[in-house]
Amino acid sequence: MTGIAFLLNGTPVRVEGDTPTRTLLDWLREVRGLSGTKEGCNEGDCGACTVMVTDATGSRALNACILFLPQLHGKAVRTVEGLSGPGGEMHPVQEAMITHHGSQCGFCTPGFVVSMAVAQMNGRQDHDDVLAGNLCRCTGYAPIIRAAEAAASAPVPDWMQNDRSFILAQIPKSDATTPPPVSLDAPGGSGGTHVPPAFRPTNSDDLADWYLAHPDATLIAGATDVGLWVTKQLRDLAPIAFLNGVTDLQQIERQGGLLHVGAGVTIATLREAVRDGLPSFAELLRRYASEQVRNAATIGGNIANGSPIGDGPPALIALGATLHLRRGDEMRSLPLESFFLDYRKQDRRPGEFVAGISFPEKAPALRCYKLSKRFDQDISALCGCFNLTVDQDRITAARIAFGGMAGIPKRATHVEQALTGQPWTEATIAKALPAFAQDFTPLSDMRASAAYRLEAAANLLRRYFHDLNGTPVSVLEVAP
Amino acid sequence: MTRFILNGTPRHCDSPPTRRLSDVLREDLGLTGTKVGCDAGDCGACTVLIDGRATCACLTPAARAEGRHIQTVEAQTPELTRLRAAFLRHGAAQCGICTPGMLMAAAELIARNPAPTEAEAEAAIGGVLCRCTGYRKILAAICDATDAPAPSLPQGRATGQPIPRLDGAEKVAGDLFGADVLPENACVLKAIRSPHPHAAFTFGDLAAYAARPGIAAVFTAADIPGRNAFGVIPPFADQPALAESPARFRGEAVALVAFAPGHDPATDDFPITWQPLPALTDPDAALQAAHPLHPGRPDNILVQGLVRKGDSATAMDRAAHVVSAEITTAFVEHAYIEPEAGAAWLEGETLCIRACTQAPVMDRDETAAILALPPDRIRILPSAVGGGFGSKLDLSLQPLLGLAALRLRRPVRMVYSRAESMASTTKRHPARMRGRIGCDAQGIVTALEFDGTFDTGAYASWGPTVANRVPVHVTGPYHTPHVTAIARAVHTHNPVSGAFRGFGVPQAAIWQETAYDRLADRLGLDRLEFRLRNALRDGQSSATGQVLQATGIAPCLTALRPHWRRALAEASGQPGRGVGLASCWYGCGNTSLPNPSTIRIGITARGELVLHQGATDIGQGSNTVIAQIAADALGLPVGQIRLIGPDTALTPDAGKTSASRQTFVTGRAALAAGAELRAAILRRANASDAARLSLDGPLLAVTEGATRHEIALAGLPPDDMGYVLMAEASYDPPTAPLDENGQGRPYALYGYGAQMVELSVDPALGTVRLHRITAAHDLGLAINPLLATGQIEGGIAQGIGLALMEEYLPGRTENLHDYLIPTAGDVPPITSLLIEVPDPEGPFGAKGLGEHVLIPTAPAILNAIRHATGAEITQLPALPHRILAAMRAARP
Repeated sequence: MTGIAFLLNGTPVRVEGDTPTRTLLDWLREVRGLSGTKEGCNEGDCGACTVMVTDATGSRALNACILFLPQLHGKAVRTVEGLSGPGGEMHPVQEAMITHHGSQCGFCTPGFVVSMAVAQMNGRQDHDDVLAGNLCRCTGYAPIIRAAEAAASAPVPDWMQNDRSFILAQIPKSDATTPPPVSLDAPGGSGGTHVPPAFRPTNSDDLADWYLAHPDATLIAGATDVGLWVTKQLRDLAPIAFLNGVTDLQQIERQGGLLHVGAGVTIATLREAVRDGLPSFAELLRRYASEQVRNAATIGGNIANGSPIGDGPPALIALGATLHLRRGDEMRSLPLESFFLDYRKQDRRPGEFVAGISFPEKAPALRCYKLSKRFDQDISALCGCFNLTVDQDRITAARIAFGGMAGIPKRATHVEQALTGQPWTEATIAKALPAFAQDFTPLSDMRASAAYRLEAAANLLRRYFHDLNGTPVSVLEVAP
Repeated sequence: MTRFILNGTPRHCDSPPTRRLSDVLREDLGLTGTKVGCDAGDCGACTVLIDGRATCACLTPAARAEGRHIQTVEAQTPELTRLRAAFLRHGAAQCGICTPGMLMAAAELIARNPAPTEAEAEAAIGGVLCRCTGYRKILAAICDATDAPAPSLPQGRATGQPIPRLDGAEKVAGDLFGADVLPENACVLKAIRSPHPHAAFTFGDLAAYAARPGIAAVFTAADIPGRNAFGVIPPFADQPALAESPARFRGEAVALVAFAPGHDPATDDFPITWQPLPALTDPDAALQAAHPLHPGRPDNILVQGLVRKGDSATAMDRAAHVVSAEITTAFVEHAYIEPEAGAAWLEGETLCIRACTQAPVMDRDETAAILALPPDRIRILPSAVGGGFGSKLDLSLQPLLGLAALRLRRPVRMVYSRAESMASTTKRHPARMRGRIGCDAQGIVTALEFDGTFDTGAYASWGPTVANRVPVHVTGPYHTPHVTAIARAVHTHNPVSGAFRGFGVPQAAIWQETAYDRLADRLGLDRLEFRLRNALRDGQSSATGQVLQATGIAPCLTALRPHWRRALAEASGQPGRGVGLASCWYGCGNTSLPNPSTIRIGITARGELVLHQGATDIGQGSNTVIAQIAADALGLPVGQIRLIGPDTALTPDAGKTSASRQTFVTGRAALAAGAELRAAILRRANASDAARLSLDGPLLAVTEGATRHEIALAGLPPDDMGYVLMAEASYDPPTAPLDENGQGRPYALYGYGAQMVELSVDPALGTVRLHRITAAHDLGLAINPLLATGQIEGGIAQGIGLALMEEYLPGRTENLHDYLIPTAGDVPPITSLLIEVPDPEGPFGAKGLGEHVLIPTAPAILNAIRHATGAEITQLPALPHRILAAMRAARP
């Protein structure tokens, strides 16, 4: 593969000949000797390895442990070593962390200060959300939040702005999304002899041709799950294609009341896109993993992965979403629920990939409920999404989908049938509840018991009824 | 052989004459302060002084050092001391790779020209490249290399001041943890671990495996030269560094592979054959098992602790109200963000181990026994520690690093994966607890009976401590005249349970404090007033018969009272809202065993004030707190103190960072050492204790009224360590052994606390949202309020996890997405109330705090859940499905 060029703490670097599944964290620590960035879990759970990555669209926090070097081509990376100014002056978030005693043992601190510096630059005030992906075992978080609040009003240091200016300066005005091809040249490189093939397409036509020729390949978009195949399962992924250069799959279009979302759109971007029209979906996405993971993970990956506990599919199925698949030059579309055949088995042919998904941009009756052991950054025990159409006090259509209740994201068809055509009353809801047992035979596991899942699913339907009628019922929505 | 004087000490090396001096220093002599940036003389990072002249060590053949004086950045010279302080003051060090070279180049200049101009400084460092600073601050620092104290620290009294931690700058810059120091030419180590909880095993052709490309060696138990058994309590030492068949828990190391970096070996075909054996994973079954895990521990009982006072059976019969309670808790993983990591190398014949730890001296002595070395052949240099919470008290990778470094005669390094860290290191004991508490008609507690089985896993670790601490503390901070309390640590084939913030007391408090709520309800008494009625007062005796002083529980509960009434009023009539309360007490230091700390303070002829501070700072702040105490005892500003340590070669033993003992025990040693040094100074000046000291370079002034006495430090003879004035003092808390009924004086002092939780429970889903936690803790005197509230908030977060989400299942939750610890969103606003009931035994009255803060949180949450819903949780964590089931069980 050709070299990977990016800006590291303000200095252009080029990596030649390294294995494409080398993680940024590994490279920073082992090759560059930049040990400020820490490894806490090597699977995107703890945020100790958080780095700032900037491209033409802005700066975001990402987990370096599940970020492969080729994903950085043409971008700028800033680690904790790059937070201080050229004269050695500390970043305001670092100063605030000292003042507010936000660091005890200090191991999580580099990850926190990077997350905080990105948020500070982006003017974010939702500190709990921004920092949900950074685990701390010492402080109890309160002093860190205080530090984030204190630093929020400080001016953004000049040097933090340089990455974006540099990236923008590299880009021809006509094509603001193509990574700079040459200007990031730098001497150097790193070891590694066995280099598996990796393909970095820049458009979906090239991807389609290549994937047809390499149907056994692994497609890597955000790498938030594939990263673990490498760091935890030590799997050999060759051949590989990195999709982050496929800009035409990263678009969102609004047309005829529908949102057409490319498979390469990140969860963070999708959350913004549905904030006004589908607020309950946006709220669900707020609790989807962590800021760092949302900034990397894509909706296409979330769907193609086929996990029974992914949070995207239940909401999209409840919305009646249509999935678009592409194989070579052939496109086909199908209802999203038809894509999931059985546990980890999807209706996807060799060489076929998820291109995008379409769904209504507004659905006032959509409600998404996620139940988990931990409020933020946890895998759902169950995720129930409800979207009923009520016309003149009668239920005319019902779409209800659950994650965590079966081997696939699945509609509650018997419950839907029990509701459809019935009056919109508590009695109708009560009569429909036993149908959950026909739809689902959930498992008991460490997240919840089977009995709890069934009972909670039924209670979520009750919740939905009260919710639509304006009765606040969920403690999860009670303001603290 | 090449001989030279290195930093004032005659040294020699057997390196080839053409070997680079930088390699000799870093790899052969283990002095890694000298950095290597290019190995071509271009960057100057390797600059050392040879006969006083700055030279690139990478271009100097070893033979050229013959007979010369070599000075490296490790040297303690006045020039370097001044330069280091100036570099910090001016922010002259950023990434730090060039800093040693910069310091050495500048040291040459300063030695002959103490006040150089900027142009002179620029010329001096012309051969040293810096990529971070743009050189301006380095130049400013070199031109300002004075002994000025660090800014912004108090000039007067330091204790009681919320000063920022003294090691804060390193922290925000990315401190150097166990994995961050990579010795040159180091082999990498990887352990082969048991995939079964109990299995026999035999090795195949290890020699053939070891002969594979890139593999340096394979080690097994057969390679261990000494006693292959470690354990924090020597009489119980039973855990092998590398197991001999059988392996006794999943994750136990059985072999060690050393390999060259970049040659990660395949381990799936490692030549080992496993034969799984029946595993005892349930402590009740283990108690009945025919064959114990360890000989001499019948019924798999490691230790059974007992406290018996009065006649609990009769008192219970006579009690007006009795509640029975039963509750079980889960394995809890420490989940520090830094997995175990470290490196080892030989420095001459001394084995150096740099790894994360809470107990450097224990590491040294235990590793020495395993490797059959005298302890003084091992030097433990703790890295910065990325969280410990008890688990880094035990050995983990230290003997593995040591074994490989000794056998290979080359540096080695090892970093645990997260899964490896979770599977192989200690846990909080799961507890099955039952018993009764009785009181009279007025709500005065009269009797308590407790029986607890604690799953101590495959090896002893801190099981004996837990079994002994629990019966002592199970009454809570309440006067209880009649007590029978038994806690047994039982071996199973589960992970090793050890120390985790509180040594079993948090589990016992969950049982006792939830029972107290039910007893108060039975009486119709307000839950806080019921506790206050029974709170221990000065002069009352504990369950062990110890007459107590400085009891802080009543002041804590009283401080919570207005918050409690406000919270109850706010929750009243609100569906799903609950308020809960729980207390804690905790004895600081070892239970009835010696645990001395020693602190040394010295002043050099040049006026450096040096504190040899051996208490490992794992984040709690002992680097800062001990310095504050020492500064006030001595009467000099804290900012003048330079910290050394911990390092077993440089710091006296300050014991281990555990049992909430450092502020108390090491603090007392620091108080004594500071006072002793002050007394020595005052004697020289013939001044009284009212005199004021000031240290200005080599001039120590003693001022009393109008009299000023100056001591010229340069005129005093230095001792072996280079100090012209020095004091070293120890402190060991006065305790008395417990008799066969657990009667005695187990601790010299106790700390107290109480916390209140406000929350909501969703009645349909069993989910919990915390709204606010108010915590009142008596810490005698808050030496550093900033650090103290930091402890409170951090402890509460762990208590929230213990109550609501943490449950380690071997083989199933060995990562941080299946094993959940609280995130920022799980920790509600916390109000800390610092209560100061000084204990005459503590330094300036201070008591320990680190573990206390975790204890009340979980029972307060459970009490609030019960208040909100009626649900009585009997199995932790209180997951939504358990809460919902308990709510159903509570319905009439």
